[in-house]
Amino acid sequence: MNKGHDQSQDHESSNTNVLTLDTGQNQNIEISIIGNPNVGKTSLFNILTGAKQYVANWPGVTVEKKVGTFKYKDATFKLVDLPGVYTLSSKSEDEKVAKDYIINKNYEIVILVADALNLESSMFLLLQLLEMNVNIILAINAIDEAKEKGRIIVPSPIIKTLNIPVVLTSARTGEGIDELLEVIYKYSLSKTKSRVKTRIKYPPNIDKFIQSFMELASNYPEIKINYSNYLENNWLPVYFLEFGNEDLNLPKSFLKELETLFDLDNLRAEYTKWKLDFISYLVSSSIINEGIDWSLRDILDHVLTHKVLGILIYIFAMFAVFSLTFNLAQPLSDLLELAFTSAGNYLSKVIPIPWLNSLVVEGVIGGVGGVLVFIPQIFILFFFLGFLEESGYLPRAAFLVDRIARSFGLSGRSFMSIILGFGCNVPAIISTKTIANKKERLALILSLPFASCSAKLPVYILLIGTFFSSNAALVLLLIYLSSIVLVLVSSKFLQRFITQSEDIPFIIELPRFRMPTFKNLAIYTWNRGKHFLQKAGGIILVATIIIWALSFFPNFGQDINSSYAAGIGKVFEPLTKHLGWDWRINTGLVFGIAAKEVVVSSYSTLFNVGEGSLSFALQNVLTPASALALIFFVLAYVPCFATLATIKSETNSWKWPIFTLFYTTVIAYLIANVVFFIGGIFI
Amino acid sequence: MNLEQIKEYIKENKELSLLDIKEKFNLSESEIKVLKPFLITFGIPLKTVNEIHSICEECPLNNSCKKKSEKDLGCCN
Ligand SMILES: Nc1nc2c(ncn2[C@@H]2O[C@H](COP(=O)(O)OP(=O)(O)O)[C@@H](O)[C@H]2O)c(=O)[nH]1
Ligand SMILES: [Mg+2]
Repeated sequence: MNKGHDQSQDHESSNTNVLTLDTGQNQNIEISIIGNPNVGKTSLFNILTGAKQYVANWPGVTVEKKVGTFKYKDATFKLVDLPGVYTLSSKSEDEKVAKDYIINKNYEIVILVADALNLESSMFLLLQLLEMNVNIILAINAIDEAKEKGRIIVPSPIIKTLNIPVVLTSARTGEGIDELLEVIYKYSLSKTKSRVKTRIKYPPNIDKFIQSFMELASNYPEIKINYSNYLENNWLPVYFLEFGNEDLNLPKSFLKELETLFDLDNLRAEYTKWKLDFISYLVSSSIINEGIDWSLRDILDHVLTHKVLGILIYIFAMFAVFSLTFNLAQPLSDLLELAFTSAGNYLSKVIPIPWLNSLVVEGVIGGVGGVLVFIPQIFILFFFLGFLEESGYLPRAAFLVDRIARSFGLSGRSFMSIILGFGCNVPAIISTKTIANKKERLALILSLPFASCSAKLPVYILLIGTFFSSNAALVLLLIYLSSIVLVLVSSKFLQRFITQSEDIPFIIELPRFRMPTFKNLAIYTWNRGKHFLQKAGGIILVATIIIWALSFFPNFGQDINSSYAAGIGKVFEPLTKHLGWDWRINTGLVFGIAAKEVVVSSYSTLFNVGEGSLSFALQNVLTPASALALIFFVLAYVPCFATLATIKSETNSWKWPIFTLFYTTVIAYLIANVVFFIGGIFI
Repeated sequence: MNLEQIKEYIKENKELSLLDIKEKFNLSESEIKVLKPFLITFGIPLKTVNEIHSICEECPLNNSCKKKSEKDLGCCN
């Protein structure tokens, strides 16, 4: 199965002893990492290969297979990181990728990574790999966490029963990594033939079935050709028993013959029962839980996912995050503002050319600076959201939203897209690919622009800070909750014109709670904040310069009220006058289509003030009710170009982005009017 | 642990969480963990509530994303 190093005829009795190694031959030995999602595969991969990758708390990060190389002693290894799976069948893309890789056997050994706290869930895959006769090293990872929680792993029953090397590792503390390297080295270089193969002992009925199946199959040349991979080590009958004929497509006549010989349903039940018992035996003999209070986590889980309590806690958690954000960020933000104002004042004195002076001071520093003063809020908010996300709380919250989503006729998957949309609508819309029901998917795609993406934050912060500073967190919370409701109601509404089709059952799994490390949080925060900075230097800068030019010309800054910019905004004044929005508000909204932050930068430019007085300028123009209406309009109106382009590519038609353009604007306008009306009564 | 019963229960109730099943069948934490892969072989997929990605390079769909090249446009506006 592997090229290069099995010339020696030596034999050894133990699978961990090594023989004389052929130096020079030990190049590019392919090994791979497989395991359940979220067990630390990528973390181990990174430690072994030194490749830099993003490590997160939740499963599913590894979609593609990743490859790296590393040296140990005189050998070089090629390491493949496989997607996280629980079984090897073809039931999902990830499983297919992993199964095809494993079955093709172009590797020397497979490292099965298991999570010490969830070792039970890895046993199925472990048996399956043994049934496929793969050379396995079992790495039981996160052993640090297991120790902390009083869980002791005793590897000897697994080593003895299954005859495989087992290493206890921690990708966090580095424990067991040296041993793992040593075992990889010895095990992959020891001669293939000399490895003691584990024979799995099946119940007699299953053995008989395997035998008859193979005998029968030998009469079918097409089986030999099409399933050669499965036939090695008798895996075909086992796979057939386990997963049925769905993705095998064995010849009909062969199946008929088989059915006359065996009661397949009974046999399948017997096989499953055997497997369950075997796994239960392995688990009970190798895991010791030292009287820990597991129930505490259960209680926590229970409360946090409770239908009513959970939602209240969620709302409170978000409220706490928003208040912390505002309170911690404000002084820093004020400081930045001061810096930009001083820079502007200084430059306005030293630049003698009037148009350049205006461009730099009012356009660039005023506009882009007006967005940049929100750096503290944005970074602090991402930091706290990162904490909620990495600790495992946010997925629980998402699970609650999911329950609600279902009563709006959306499937379980859809809520993920909504939460994703809070970051950015583009990946949110693409993520709807996983929703099988086409009509439901379309309704969701067209509603997702209502998910309040992070680009809208500066607009909220500016307006909330100006008009609602005493209730800042509360108003921001209201905006986010309204956003979720809007997406749900809109999908429900659009689905009214669509017939529903049947959905398949599934099970929802929540990741476990973890204390996030500061490093992970810092990476998380930086990655998200960086994007904001890049935009400030890119599209926001460009849009701001254009707005400045439109407001400066044709009369060279003499009268902004007759500038091109005013002309654009005045077109919409008849529609917005009663809401208290003048042309400047409207022009900002028009340019906000490019990127929502531009709304803020354009106000800084159009109100023609240093940042110090933008708040005052806004207070002179808007009432609190019109400001609130403006906030909700920004929440709902036209998505950015990138989102529209994504809708086009996902629906394969121009019809839908154009529909979205009108749909979101009409809805936004309606909401703005309702909010203005209600706000006028209460504020 | 009766696999058949659990299977039927899930098929009847469509979308459940592992917690629901644990309570209904009075299973231990350990048993639930053993059960997971079996459910998958029964054709009942396990959907892990996933990370909330909001940046292109971390986005799970990064590789299939056509908007990537338009970085300056702010692909994840
Ligand atoms: N405490 C602890 N956490 C770990 C260990 N290995 C990985 N993790 C964490 O587990 C999470 C998932 O790790 P990852 O490598 O992405 O898992 P994968 O899905 O199997 O690739 C991350 O938050 C890691 O920081 C470990 O040995 N100990
Ligand atoms: Mg991974």
